[in-house]
Amino acid sequence: MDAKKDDALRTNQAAFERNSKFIYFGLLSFSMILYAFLTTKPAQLFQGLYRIYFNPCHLFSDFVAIGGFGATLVNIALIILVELLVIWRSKGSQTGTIITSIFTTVGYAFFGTSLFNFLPILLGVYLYSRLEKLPFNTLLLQAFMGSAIGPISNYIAFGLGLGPALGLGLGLLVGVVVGMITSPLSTVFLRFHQGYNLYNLGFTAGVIGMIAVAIMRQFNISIDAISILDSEHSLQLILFALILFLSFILFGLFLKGWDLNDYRRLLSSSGRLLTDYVQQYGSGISFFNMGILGLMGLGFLKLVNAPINGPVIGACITASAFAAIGKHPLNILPLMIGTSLATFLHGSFQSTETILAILFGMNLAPIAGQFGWLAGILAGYLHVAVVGHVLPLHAGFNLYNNGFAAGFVAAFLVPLIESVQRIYESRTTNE
Amino acid sequence: MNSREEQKTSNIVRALTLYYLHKKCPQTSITIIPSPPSYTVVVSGSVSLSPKELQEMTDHLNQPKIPEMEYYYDDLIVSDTIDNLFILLGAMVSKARVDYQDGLLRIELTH
Repeated sequence: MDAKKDDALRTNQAAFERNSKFIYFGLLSFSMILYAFLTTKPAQLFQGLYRIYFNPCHLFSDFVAIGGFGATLVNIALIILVELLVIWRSKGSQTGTIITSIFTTVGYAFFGTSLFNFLPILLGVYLYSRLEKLPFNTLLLQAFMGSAIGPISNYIAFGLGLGPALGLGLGLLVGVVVGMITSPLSTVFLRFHQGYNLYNLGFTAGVIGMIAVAIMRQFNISIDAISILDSEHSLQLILFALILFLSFILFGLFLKGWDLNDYRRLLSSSGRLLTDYVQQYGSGISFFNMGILGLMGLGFLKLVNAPINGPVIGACITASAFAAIGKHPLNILPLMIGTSLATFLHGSFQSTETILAILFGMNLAPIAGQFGWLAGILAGYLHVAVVGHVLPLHAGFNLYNNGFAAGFVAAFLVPLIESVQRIYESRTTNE
Repeated sequence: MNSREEQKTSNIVRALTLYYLHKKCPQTSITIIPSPPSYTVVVSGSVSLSPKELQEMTDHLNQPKIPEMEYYYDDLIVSDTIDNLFILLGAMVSKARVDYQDGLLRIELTH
């Protein structure tokens, strides 16, 4: 009887959390749209959206600079609404993985992910699920985060000078094809770094981008680097992120009934994939953790007086999103020390690219969680060194460039650390 | 059984085998029961378990299935550490049963 009661309570709590999350995401989207229309004239908004959608947008294309702050918010809100629709229609769950993928696309919708390049990839993943006869709701992560490679559609459509019909058709077709190949590749590439890189889709998108660029270069197509960064909306961007992170904390506390007892247990986890905090501790604790990480990110930006623009705030949001599936304040600190140390020695905290490497370097948090602080600091240091080297391989088509770099760092570092551990253990046993 | 389900079953068997080996089980028995569309893996052997370990294992194995786990993360279970193993297994199976009597641990997983 007690077991039945427990089951009923769990089911009720799950339904309450699911409905609350739908309402939260919906309110978030409509607030952004409302704010955009209250602060920007409709004509300007549509012109801004046009510029965001119909332009090459590989790294680094700051949508706030290209389309304006209001249009960027509308772009973000529309992507969230499409994702909610897909989750609802496919009867998908709202696990930590899915929450992470939603807020990752929110972050990247500041600098590269738009509805234009998001939809073909979504369609491609859907077609793959039909061909493989897999339930689409098992592939939502790939459907949402596959948009990492979205700028390839924009570049083919608007960067090659193919004309509107051919360019648009080919760009969209390539997007669909990329969506179809993302799922099978992402599964295999997970083994490469054994789950120690939280941005596995970034690694997958990097490989796809690398192959695509290699093919383009066979046809003598050169891809020019872009660096369009906004410097006029710092206050709005900071306030947006601050409100978002505070809303995570308040929403989390609301879902958890203002009880944080489980948070200490979460802080002791290694964070390696697949650590789904929503499944293990519930949505409340997960949102709370996301908010804390987001505020830590903002605090860091203030501490080092970093440039504030779309990519930097997008990175901060994405970094916090992964606090639903593995990151927490204790396992990211060694990484932040390592990445900051590398920046202090060899780079500058005033460089957007370096700040992104520091914020995204946290994706190696499972290394620190599993092997300790020293390993985490080393991983962070290596990450900053590798990230700049891999960008030219995909010419900026992979928005999750840091995920690509982290895959190599984890694949290089983890077997070596494990080997050292084995040697140490065998010596200790022999003694 | 299609190749995906075969792979998944094989991964579950490998993960459980690793666990019993890690626990220094002197003899491990494995039974695989294909009954499409579901497949059951039963592994048993003598291991030493504390009540806390048993409770945690049972809780982790009985957590709700995670759809994304089915065809994406399932390969991770064969390379994962023991402490995260049952969380991953619980996320990819639809039914789990754990019995521990007189030192004999029997784990039955259906996916």
